[in-house]
Amino acid sequence: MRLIRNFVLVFSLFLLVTACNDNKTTLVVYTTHGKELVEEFVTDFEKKNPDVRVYSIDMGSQDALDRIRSEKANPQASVWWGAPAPLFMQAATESLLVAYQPTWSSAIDSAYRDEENFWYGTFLTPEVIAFNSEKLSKESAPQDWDDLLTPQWRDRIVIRSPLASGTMRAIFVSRITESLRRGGTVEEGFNWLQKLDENTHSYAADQTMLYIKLARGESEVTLWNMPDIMLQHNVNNYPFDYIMPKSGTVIVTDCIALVRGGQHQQLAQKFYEFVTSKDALIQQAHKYYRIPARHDIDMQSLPEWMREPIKAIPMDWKLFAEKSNEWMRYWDEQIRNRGK
Amino acid sequence: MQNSEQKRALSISDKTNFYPLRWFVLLILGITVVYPLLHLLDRSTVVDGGRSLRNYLHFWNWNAPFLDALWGSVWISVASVFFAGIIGVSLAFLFERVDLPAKSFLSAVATLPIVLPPLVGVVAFVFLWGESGIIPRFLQFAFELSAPPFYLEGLSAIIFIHAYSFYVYFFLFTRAAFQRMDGATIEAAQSLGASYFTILARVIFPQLRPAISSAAILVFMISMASFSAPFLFGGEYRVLTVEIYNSKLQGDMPMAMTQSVMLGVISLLFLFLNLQTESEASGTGQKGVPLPPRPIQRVLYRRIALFIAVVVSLILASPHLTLLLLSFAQNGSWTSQIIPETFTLANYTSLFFNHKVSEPIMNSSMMAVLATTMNFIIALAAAFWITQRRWRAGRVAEVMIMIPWAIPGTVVAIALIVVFNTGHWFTAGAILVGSFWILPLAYFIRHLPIVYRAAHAAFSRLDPFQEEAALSLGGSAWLTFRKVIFPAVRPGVMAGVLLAMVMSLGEFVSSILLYTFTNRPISMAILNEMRLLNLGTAAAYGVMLTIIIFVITWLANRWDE
Amino acid sequence: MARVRLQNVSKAFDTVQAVDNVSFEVKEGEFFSLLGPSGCGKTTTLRMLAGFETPSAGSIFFNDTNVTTAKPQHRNVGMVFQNYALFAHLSVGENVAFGLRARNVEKHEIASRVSRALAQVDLSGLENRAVSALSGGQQQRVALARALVVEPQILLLDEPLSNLDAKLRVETRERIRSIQKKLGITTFYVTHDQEEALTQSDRMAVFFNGKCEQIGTPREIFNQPVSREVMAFLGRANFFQANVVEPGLVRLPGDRQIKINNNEIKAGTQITLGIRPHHVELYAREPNFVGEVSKVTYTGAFEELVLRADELQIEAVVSFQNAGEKIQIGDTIPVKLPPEKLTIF
Ligand SMILES: Nc1ncnc2c1ncn2[C@@H]1O[C@H](COP(=O)(O)OP(=O)(O)O)[C@@H](O)[C@H]1O
Ligand SMILES: [Mg+2]
Repeated sequence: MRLIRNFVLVFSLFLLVTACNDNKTTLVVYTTHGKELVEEFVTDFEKKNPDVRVYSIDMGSQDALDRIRSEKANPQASVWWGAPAPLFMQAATESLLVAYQPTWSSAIDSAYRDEENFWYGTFLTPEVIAFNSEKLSKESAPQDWDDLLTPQWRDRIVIRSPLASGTMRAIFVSRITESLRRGGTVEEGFNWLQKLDENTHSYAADQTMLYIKLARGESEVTLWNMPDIMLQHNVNNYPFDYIMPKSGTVIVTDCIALVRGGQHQQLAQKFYEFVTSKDALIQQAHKYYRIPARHDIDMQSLPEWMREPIKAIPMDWKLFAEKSNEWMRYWDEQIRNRGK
Repeated sequence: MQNSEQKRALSISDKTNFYPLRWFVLLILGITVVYPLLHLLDRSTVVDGGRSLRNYLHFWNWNAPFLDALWGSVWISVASVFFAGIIGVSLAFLFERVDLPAKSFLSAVATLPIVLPPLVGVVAFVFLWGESGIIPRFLQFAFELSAPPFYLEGLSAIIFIHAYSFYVYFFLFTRAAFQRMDGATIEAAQSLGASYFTILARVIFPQLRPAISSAAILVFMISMASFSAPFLFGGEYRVLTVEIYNSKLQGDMPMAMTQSVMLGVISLLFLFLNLQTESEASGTGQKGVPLPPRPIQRVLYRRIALFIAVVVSLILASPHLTLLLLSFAQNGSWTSQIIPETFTLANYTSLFFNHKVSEPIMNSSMMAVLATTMNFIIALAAAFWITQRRWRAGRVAEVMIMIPWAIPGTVVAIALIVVFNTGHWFTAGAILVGSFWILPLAYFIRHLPIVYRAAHAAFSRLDPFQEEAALSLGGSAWLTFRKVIFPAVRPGVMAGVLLAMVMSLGEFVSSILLYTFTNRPISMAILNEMRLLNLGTAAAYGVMLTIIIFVITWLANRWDE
Repeated sequence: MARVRLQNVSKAFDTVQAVDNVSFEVKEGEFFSLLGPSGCGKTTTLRMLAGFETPSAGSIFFNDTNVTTAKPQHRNVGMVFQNYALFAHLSVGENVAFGLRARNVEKHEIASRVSRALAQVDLSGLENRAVSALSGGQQQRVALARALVVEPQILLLDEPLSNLDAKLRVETRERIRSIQKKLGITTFYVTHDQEEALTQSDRMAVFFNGKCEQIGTPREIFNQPVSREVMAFLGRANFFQANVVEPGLVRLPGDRQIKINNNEIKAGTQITLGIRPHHVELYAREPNFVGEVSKVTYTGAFEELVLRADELQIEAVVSFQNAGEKIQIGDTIPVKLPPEKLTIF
């Protein structure tokens, strides 16, 4: 009897809990933008739409793509907010996204959006050389990409393992495309990466490990994106600073899209518009160091440091989407740790 | 005249049977265990719509890192067995042969690694022994060095963690063998004039060998399946489980499937080895006088023994203490200091009062209860028929139940993804991937063997005449099961159920591949807090899990007595 | 109380013929023992009576009802198991009450019947004890009370004394017998100990290799065993090969002729003679032959002797009243095998 009673108890508890969640519409958002930023906008959105509960799941960008791909037959998320454009391109080719033309579609450069409206850019994220500011100063840190290859930095660099990181992929692939753009070969690009591998002290399994290793001075230098570095510096007081590479840097377009087959498409569009509105972008710029991709925002309303243009190296994102998997696999099989 | 086999079945049918339920058990096992694995095997040989072994050929390409990963896994496992074996067996010797001071306290400490959930344990090690961990930093500071004198990383870290986590198996198995050993055999050898080392080599060791070798195979299997340590600590070192995860992350499902099949096959091989040595180990069952530990006479030696014991227990408890310390640290406050310096209770209050933080706890509890309830029903039913009713198809059911014991969680998860990405008649057309139910299902599959083994052992100890006594007193089938059979096996079965519950609560390996927003479990919350550098919150989750596990393990041990 | 009839009952397990074509009938209120060496099929027979095994062939009747395939729950038998099979998780009282609960007896009646049953076995007031806290003898009595409280029509006991020490055994045996007599319940008692069977049975059956060799009162079986095996199993015995010289006279090895009380066996027939040691007459006035003492064993009340006469070897017993002086190895004693005590096979 006790057995049956316990079972009934547990089961009713279960029903109770599931029932609790049922009186609100749920909107699921996969995002890579970090808890602080996302939670702020989710809360605001929920305040404006009291009958909606937004579940935002924060994860790595490759994770997000993988999840959407795995759930293709049974999509859970309706909005995918954040991750570099190539991942969105890949998702679009795999028919994981649904086209949506935002109200501000005319206010964005065609380089930062999909022709068929599958995805739009939200932020322009420059990749930078980041360093531990307790150990190095703006002057003593490496100033450009090639500086990283000098013997001076041997075993002083930590690299986030690039396979699962959109940011690192963009940086690595850009070294190869740069070589091609200057009339070189893919092999020369790999050579560059090989030399970097020789100077690399360790590969961090994830972003956190990277921050920890850098913050605690295990390694002094890393390659990462600027907003994250600044956010960690400000929110967690980590001794981080960055150098914008002299020869220019890759600028990754952080994008947003709607997931094909996701529930509550109307609501999803509403959320999409909400987090990419002018006000939202300005707020994100000030608080979270995010450079808006829209060009119709008044320069004066943006933080001062954002007003000067960043020297960008052009990147063929189509080529990136096509080749990055192959190149990364080659790197993983033939270069990683082979130089030691 | 009918043949005797039929007659026997007939005479059994006079007892309680719940006959049709048997086929229900087989059906469930078929759907949840066998079908996904076979389906995985099938799909891994399909390339571009045609049947081909191309995936496997790439796997065996000598330059491919997958082979590196295979060797990596094997090598790590061998080393883990070696070190865990040395630690576990020598501790067992120490406990059984030497009359240590404060023995019962020490033996509780020696099993501490058990109560550390896999992911949490690894996280604790990162903070303690990692390059910027407490101990290397402290040494660097204490000796005014420019760099930490040593730290754990990559291969050495994985092996260190494995040795720490898995020596317990050697320890417990060897201790049990010591306790089964007949002390008279040693006295006999002494009286025949054998030296201490002869006795060790010729008398003691042969009696421990079956226990040690089954622990070795078990640890090898667990090391092959280990995911959290190489995932967080591995850095450049490749192992199969992490490669599978990476392949999946890259969207290369064919490769993930192929690697899963390879890992699964190796693990199954070891399962069969294990089952064999195990029957060997339990075969030496004659009970004798247990041999008493040797008292330490000299005061100096006693002090030394005590000192060693204290040091060892400090080392063993260090991950737990680290977690405890960190759980009070303010998020983001620990950078270049040796230990965190700003403390707060906020991490704990948020566990209970912050909805977003407490939700994973609710999720995990719910899923653990669901999965374990199903485990309980299926394992109890299968063990009942197999041990009590000489169920012939029971052998098949038993094999099906034990398979998940060998198959690493990563492989189970990949198989589930492959199968439940479409609807089936047995899911009423629903697609389970991306739904709440996929995780309880994975937990159910993974922990079925634990509950089954507990139930099987409990039923094997059951006096068969109890049931007959009840029946002859006029008890109906159901009354007899409820009032006599079940109460008699309950302590053992519940111990298994609690263990499974604990493992479900902290499950990480398949969760990382299967979770969705409706069922985000504690382990994923920990990983995410780590990602967001909320080390305090992550540690608080870890401490809470550890406490739950500790309480439940303690309860289970009490019930099993 | 029931009459029980087994009709050509057999039971086979795989290759083992555990019970082989057994038939007998037991009267109401009879105390019936099943005696035989280990593995001869006693337990199997008992379990078929209880309903735990179904016969491969033959039928079982309680009174005139065929119960061959009836379920154990529906037979209303009480069984005491060799290891008692007490429910360890239940108290003494709950153990005894189990059968009453199964029969949906009302609560207050359960309580009074349980205490009466416990009183019957001298365990009054132990209702709330854990069974593990009882001694072996007490556990045995709880098992008995549990079997009896439901007022079964037959009582089955499978070696109920085998786990008790020698002194308790006699005491318990007597208790079982007296309760059985008082209740007048038909009882089957399985044992491999001939003394137990002989002392308390109304009638008994002796089993060998699944076959029922002989059925009868203890006296009949002890004194007129039908086979050499039965005779040997029921106590010590001397056996001799003999050749019938003429009706009523046989020749033992060593050309010793002795008389037998049977004139129907034809001359030239090979027979076996059996005689129990205490029936061998020593210091007889008309000895058949003289034996030389080859072994003397002192047992307290008796001396057991082994005597040799050529290749004959004879066990005999001497009580001290008969022995005039101390018997030593090498002594020669006149021996007589009285015809009326010889069993012929
Ligand atoms: N369940 C069974 N399966 C197979 N053989 C059995 C079984 N039960 C008894 N036997 C065999 O039947 C024979 C008679 O057994 P049993 O009735 O227990 O003998 P007893 O009680 O006289 O010692 C033995 O040879 C025994 O091995
Ligand atoms: Mg028997």
